[in-house]
Amino acid sequence: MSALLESLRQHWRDRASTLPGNADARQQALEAFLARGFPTTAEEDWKYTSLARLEDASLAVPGPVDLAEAMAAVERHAVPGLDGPRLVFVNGQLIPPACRLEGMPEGLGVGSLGQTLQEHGDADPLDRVVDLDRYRLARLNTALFLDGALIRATKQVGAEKPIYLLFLNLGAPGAMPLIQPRVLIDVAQGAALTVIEHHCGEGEAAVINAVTEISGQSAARITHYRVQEHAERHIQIAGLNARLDRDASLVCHNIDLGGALVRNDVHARLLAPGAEVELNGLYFTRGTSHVDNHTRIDHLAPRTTSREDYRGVLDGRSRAVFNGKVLVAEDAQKIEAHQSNNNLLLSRECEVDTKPELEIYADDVKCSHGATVGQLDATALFYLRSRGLDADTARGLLTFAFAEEVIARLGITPLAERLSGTVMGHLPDSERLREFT
Amino acid sequence: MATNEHELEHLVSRKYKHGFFTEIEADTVPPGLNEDVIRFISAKKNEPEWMTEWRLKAYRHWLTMPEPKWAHVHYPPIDFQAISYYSAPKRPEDAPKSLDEVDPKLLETYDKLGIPLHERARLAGVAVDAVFDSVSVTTTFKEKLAEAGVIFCSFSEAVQEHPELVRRYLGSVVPARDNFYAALNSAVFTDGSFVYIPKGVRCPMELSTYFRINAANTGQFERTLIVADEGSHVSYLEGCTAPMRDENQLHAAVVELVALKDAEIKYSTVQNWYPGDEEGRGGIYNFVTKRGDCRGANSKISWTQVETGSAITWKYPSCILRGDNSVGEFYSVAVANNLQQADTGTKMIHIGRNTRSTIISKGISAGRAQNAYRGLVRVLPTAEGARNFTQCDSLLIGDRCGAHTFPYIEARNPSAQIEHEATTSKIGEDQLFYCLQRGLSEEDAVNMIVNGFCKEVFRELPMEFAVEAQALLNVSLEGAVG
Amino acid sequence: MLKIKDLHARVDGKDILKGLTLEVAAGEVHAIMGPNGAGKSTLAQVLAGREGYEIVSGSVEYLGQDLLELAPEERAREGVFLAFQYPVEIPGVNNVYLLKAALNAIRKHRGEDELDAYAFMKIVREKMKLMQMDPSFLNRGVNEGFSGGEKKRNEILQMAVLEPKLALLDETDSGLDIDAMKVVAEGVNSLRSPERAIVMVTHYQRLLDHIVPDVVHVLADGRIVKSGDRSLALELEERGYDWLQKAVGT
Repeated sequence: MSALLESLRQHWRDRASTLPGNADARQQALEAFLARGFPTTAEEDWKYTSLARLEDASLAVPGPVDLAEAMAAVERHAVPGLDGPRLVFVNGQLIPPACRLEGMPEGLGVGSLGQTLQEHGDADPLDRVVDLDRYRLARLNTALFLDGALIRATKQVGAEKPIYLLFLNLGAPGAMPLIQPRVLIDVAQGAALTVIEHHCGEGEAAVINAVTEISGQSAARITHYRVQEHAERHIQIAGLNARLDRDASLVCHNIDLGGALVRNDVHARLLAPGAEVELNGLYFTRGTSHVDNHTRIDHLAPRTTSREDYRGVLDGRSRAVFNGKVLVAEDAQKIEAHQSNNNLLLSRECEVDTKPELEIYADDVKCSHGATVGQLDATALFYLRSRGLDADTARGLLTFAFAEEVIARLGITPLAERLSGTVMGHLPDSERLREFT
Repeated sequence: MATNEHELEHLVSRKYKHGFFTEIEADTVPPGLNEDVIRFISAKKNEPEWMTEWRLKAYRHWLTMPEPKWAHVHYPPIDFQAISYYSAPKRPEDAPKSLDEVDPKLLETYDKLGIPLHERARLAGVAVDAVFDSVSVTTTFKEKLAEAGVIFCSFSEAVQEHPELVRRYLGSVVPARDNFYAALNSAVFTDGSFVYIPKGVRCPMELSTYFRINAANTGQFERTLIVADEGSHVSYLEGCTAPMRDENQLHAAVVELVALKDAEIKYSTVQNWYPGDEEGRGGIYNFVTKRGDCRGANSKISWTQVETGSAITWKYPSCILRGDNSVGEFYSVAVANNLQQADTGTKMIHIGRNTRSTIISKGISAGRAQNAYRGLVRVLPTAEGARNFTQCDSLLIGDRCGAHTFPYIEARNPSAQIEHEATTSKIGEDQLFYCLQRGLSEEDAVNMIVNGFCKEVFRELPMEFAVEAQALLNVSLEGAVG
Repeated sequence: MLKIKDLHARVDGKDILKGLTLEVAAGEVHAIMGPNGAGKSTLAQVLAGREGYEIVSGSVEYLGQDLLELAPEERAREGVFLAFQYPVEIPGVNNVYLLKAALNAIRKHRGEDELDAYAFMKIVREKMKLMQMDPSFLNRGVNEGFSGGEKKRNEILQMAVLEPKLALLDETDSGLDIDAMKVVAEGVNSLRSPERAIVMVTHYQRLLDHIVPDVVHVLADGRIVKSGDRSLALELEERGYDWLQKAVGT
């Protein structure tokens, strides 16, 4: 992998002077990343997911974007009907004409991270939440990211319209662009906020290394969506890191419907009593795609709760990996943590590797996890067929229903409709299925 | 320990001479491991050349292997050159002369477990000639087995008497290079059990190491091989509820089971090696490789274990479900109290069609102990219609212990059905109060609730063993509540 | 038999019992009624010795001893029995096993011999008939998978076998249909005797149609605010609790 690492160093030399923010901090991050390099399958956390295909790749920090082309792409991909604040990034760079920031409520700040760093370079808000030793890919992002979103909600911000962040990643022949979106969300005491991160792309392969940091102060309520609809050759690595203070709550929806190689890490730390986190996940893998979801919830204080439900539908020769870890620290009593991961295998060549983990150092806990791998419920299948549906349609309907349970929890109608449509489109014989739903 | 240390000191102080094994007359080799030591062990046991070579190959491979570090256990590094790899059974004059010389704490435990008086002497290592009752039992027992054509003997004896069987099956389930401790065992194992059940034979009784009194002092690097030929059936019991005195700190046993077509092997273990004292001083490191191969169609291998002893337990009795319709089962109770550490579980590898596996694991943590379940369920593309059910429950007693669950599930067949469930909770205050309100003491109430928690596993044990295991559990958790 | 004097108790820092005084003599059946949250269940739990209830002041004398000094199991062995409002499930532990362990613990405490399996089963079978319970109940886990009615019948079965001196029935009628209630009431009535006192805690008076109490108390805001005979219960049923609370100024 040394050629790759060398090319990263070259990018640094080429671009360092143009990057916003604290150059020393960026260089330190780069050196720290290069010292250990990309994770390999020899590491337990990467046992089932290899980044070896990056080794021979030539990566490039993306150049300027053609505005007309960008606007056309936005038109193709943006979810219609979301009329709140919107930031649009194409290949990691802000496209101001596509953004909508007017009419922002009092106390809510939504804007370009790069611009903020440019203006107040010293007050570096990066890496406050992410655990860099555990998740060292964040260092690569810190070193070379171009821009991102900075969202700050002060006390008086209540539940408003969702903030929509669209990250469009366009690959082109030649070197793969290394696109590194960065999102910082800081929610003050008692404030409420909803953020949609929508990652999608088209064209040739691109490598996306996204990092999100969420900080919820006491009694903050945050809903976060990470929706991924990449083109079939895109590689995405995304790390979401959250820290929650007393009585703060975070609901995360993680939906993966595209991409060739996808690795998501969610790491939530519940730091004070009453903090809670809920993770909902759906992955639909097809072709030769590989989707790996790693989640980790640290219960570091008493009376914290977590719930997690990830569902997967696998088709073709695809492979899905799920690893959900719940850690309960010593003295973190009166914990409740429940986790489940259910997988539906549709084809003979797909593979799922799931590992729900519990690591518990306190005794007054109620923790459970469950994982299943299987097929559609035979009774339900029979019931539908006995009502006259043919077997394929019945199977399609039940598969759709399995995924729809996660989508139904999304709570934002335009988004749910869009994703239902995508899921439906992935199923065989989708035309017929639409008649039934 | 005192005698052993003394012995070691004495041996260490002797000068090591290269190639000593031709000259040496003693029954014990000085600490350390090299090819000469292995040749010495093999020669002592009068083994054929192929056996010696097999050991040497294992040793050479072992040298290239790193010590595994992935288990959720912590201990100071083991100095493999400080261990003596061969010592003949203790001479009678070194053993305690009577029960009066035995540690009173040990005797107290025997009392609590209800171990018959004449058994206590044997377990405590008192130098008595074979206990009368056991001898007579053993004799009738041997006659009955011979009648059925069952071979049940020490491993050394099997190498001499049934070399063709040993050669055919040894290492066929756990290859010598399988893992660090299996390789070490393959190089230096001293003895163990060998069982062969001929075609169509249902072994007329439960086989127990307990009866095989001729193989004393083989605990450290034990090797067991059980072969159930087509259509045969055997139930094998290993271990004993009473704490066995043993002075070897490192135990690295290997157990291999082979079940041919339509055969069934049931392997039950009660492990109660010395766990160390309340402060975690001393205690056995129990690093065991146990694996069963359901080689033939419709075969079945069932592991049941009750693990209460050892300072550190590291074992994963596994099933390779190769034959179509073969069945693997794993029922486990693992108790860790004080400063004990356990990392145990199973692997179920589904290869054949319609293979089924069941895993029931009950972990109990108390004191400052760490107890981890680690398991793997792997379904290969060939395993059409494979089924697995896993239930993995942890019970916590006290707020300074840990309970961990690390299940790996790898599915590569769309017709597979895998269900894994795990829960972790403490003994319910409601349950405890309910029992107290009915007049039970706190200790009895805890014992009752814990035994209820483990019931699904105890049910799998042979009757007498199950009763003993319950008593053992109560003794192991003594002082955990209060 | 039971003398409670000016008892104050709190849970999680909240005062629940605020000066409760009550006397129950052997042979009597008392009903304690009151609105939700009055402290009825707290009283039952405190008498049985449940942890987590802080006794602030007052005393409880039971058969001449200080009841509050005793551990829960000692109270049980001295003859205090609590029929739980929500009987606890204990997976894997046979009903019959718990019953036998409990009975022998109590017998041992009284200086009686432990019963052998035969003698024990004889008693149990007889009592089960009384409670119209199927013998298969015995081999099921304690309350595991029992319906609400089965659980309550099981409580009374335990009471019948253990023969307490003071029985506390906590909302024993809740969740019972009329037939099940009759069976439970019959079981309780069969245990009425001059040596035994029974204290029933209930929200509704319908149970009292079947188990007729000698004395009825109204518990409101942590104190007994009114005591009377059976007719008090009927009056409460008719007029609710509000008038009473207003009348006594709580």
